[in-house]
Amino acid sequence: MIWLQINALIGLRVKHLTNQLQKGGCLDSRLIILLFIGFCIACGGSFAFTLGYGLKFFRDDDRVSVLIACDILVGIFFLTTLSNAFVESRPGGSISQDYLLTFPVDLRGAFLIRLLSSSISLRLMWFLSVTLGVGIAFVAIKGIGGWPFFILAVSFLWMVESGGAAMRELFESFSRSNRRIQLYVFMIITLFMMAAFGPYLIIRQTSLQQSKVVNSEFRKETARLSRLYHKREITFEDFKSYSQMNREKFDRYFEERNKASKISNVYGSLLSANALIPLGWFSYGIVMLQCNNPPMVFLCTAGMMGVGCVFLVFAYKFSQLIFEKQLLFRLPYSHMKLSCDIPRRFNWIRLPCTTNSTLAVAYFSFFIMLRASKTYQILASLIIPLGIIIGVGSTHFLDEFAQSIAPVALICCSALTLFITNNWALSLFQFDKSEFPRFAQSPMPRDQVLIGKNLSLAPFFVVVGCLLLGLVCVKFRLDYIDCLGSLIQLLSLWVTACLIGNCFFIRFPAASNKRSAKSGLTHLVFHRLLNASTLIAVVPGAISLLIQMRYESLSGFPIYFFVEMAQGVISLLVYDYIVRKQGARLQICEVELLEAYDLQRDFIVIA
Amino acid sequence: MSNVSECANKQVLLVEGLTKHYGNLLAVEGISFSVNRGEVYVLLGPNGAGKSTTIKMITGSLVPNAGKVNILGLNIWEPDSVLHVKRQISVVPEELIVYGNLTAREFLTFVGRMYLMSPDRIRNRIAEVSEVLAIENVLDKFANEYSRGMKKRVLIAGALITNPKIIFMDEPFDSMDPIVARSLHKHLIDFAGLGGTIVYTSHVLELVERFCSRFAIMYAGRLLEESRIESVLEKSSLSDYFHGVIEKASKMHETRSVSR
Repeated sequence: MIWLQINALIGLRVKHLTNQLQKGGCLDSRLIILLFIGFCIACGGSFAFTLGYGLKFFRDDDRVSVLIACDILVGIFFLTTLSNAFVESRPGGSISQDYLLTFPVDLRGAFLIRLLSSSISLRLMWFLSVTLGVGIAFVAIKGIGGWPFFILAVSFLWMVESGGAAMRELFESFSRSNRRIQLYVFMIITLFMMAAFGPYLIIRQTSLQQSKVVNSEFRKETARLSRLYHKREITFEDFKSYSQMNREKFDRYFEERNKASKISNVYGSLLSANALIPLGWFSYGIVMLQCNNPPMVFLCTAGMMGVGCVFLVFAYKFSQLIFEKQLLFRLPYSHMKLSCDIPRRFNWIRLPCTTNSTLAVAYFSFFIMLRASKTYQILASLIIPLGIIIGVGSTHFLDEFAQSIAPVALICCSALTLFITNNWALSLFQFDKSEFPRFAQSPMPRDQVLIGKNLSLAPFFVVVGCLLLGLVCVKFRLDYIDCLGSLIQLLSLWVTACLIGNCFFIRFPAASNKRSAKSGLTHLVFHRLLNASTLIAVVPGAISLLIQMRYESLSGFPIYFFVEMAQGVISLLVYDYIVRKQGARLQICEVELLEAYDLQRDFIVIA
Repeated sequence: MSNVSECANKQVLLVEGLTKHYGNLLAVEGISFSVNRGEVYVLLGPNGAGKSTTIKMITGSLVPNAGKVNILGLNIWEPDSVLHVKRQISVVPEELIVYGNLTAREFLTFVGRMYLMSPDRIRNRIAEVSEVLAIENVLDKFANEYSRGMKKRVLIAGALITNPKIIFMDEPFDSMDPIVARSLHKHLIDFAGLGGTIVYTSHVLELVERFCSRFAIMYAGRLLEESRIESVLEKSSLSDYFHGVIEKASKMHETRSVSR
């Protein structure tokens, strides 16, 4: 019976999509064709690349390359899952549990329908094309022994999708609750991060221990020679030459060890880390498959299946919790009161160009965003970049490498900060479905509404930015002046994201549903384009850092810092000018926006 | 309403001691009532009285903290009977859940398929119900071109095409113009006359007066009064009676709050 209902839902989704295209007319049809071609090229390209890569490195038995490639693949997949990057690209998705329960479906059925429908996504299709490439290469080289690769891939997908479902339900239950459990979420995320970083720290510690052992042996040998000399069993010349030999022996040992085993140590560290983290079991299993170690392959598969089952049970328990407690999304009165009180109480910190109402808007919006499940998901996406930064920074053998890539890491982190925080910036009024109409009814100047909304995003920029950039600065041992520059850069990143977010909202108003933010295809495409365009804010910093690196004669002069200072000041001036224009524009097209909201608000958006 | 009352011969819904609280907030407190076949039963009350919560608990969308709900002799909260019960009832939620990018026909087909109806039966029922609710002209138009009243009618059509034994409706006449409301009310009376049962919540007292066999008044999560409509109309209008009961209850509620 449940399959017939799933079938009905699939039929609904297909109809929904085809109608959307039909209604969208020429623009949407062209866009869908372009997107389809682009997606096919991306999938085909990824397939061809991974097939070629697999054929080359599996044949050469280059395990390090295979391991790193698999880890990158898993990292990208996991990051896109967590960061909501392609959530709007789903060709349908789940409908709300509350609505499904009005049909002859019990809770288990509703859960299953939602799970299956939300699993179909573009990132999944991309991942399948990539794994297919690697899998075919594996089978081509290994023959029948390569087939377990596909079982590994399926169990990995099972684990990640179940984990995603558990996370969605967990965040949904938190966002619907009026209790102060956000703290628990952060605790869980922190524990998860610790669980992910722990292995790296252990490996680092182990490598240090090894050096300590070797050093102590060297000391023991020196002490022994010294005792022999004091007992007059050897002459001073002998003692000197033996000590010299001992020193040379250990120096040579270290040198040879570093030279010969650098690669194998990297491989060993990565392999250990993969073995310890469930997310790495896919890569670990592939390497074990390459090493012809079936028991380990079986263990990895069983482990991923098991973890997936646990996640699924958790997901179901959380959906049960939502159903049984019927947790409600309500902004507690105390928060609303606080939103009104805080601006009055802290009048003295009022920023230029803002009023009390602006700050009230900012505080109110901030609380709404803090309670949205999307917020937790976005924050959870920090796990991957943080893992990479700490991992690369902590790996003892990669110190030189880490130093050489420090500026690039800094630029990447700035871009990543924008990528992650743009999810908030480009969803200006999407966290509470009645939010925009409420502001539209207020007599506030519209630029103040926009400034208020933008200010509410600032804490998220600060948290994400400081975490990523701060960690890069510390881990990669950057100059303090560059660290300061990168923190100043946050200001211009925030301004750029806000201006583009405001523009996006005014030009392409999206459906505002409290549980999803899915909207039309045009909206989606421009969302992605504008998301990419915010990267211009990183360009001046990147160029200045490159100049600083390239011209060593200038070393000592902090070009990066001054460029960021200038960019920050210019950004603020530009913001002050443009936000007024945007406010005026918002005032003009407010009625159209309200109409768009009214049209789209009443139906459940499939997402 | 006489023809409706005549059919009332068998109990189809029994609610006993239904309670729901959200933390410290008591949304519904131990309400009990029963509805017979062919009856039109209305839950009246101001906003926040607990009417929608009661409907959700009865229809299996919200777990009660205590109490029992028997529909057609089966407990809806029993895992074995929930699907059997749900197949025989229809729910019209308060929210206007009609997909904007679907036509009414597509939406109704989806609803029919969710109730495991055959394509032929769905087609026939859509034709019958759309005629009754006067939505034939909009059947192939996209839902986001509809007015709120039209969306409500499409939702009610969705509830009717499954040919349920009981229909539960949360504020069905909300945002509906008086002409459509009257015609809808006529069709629902016909449905009840054929042995169907209707349970709904409403604020529109004028319509309730004409379209109900029994009603209950709820306030602050409690069921204050339950009565047959004829017995009330003999003495006064429903509106006067309703306001009198609510006024008395609110005074008692205030006194209780002060004494606490």
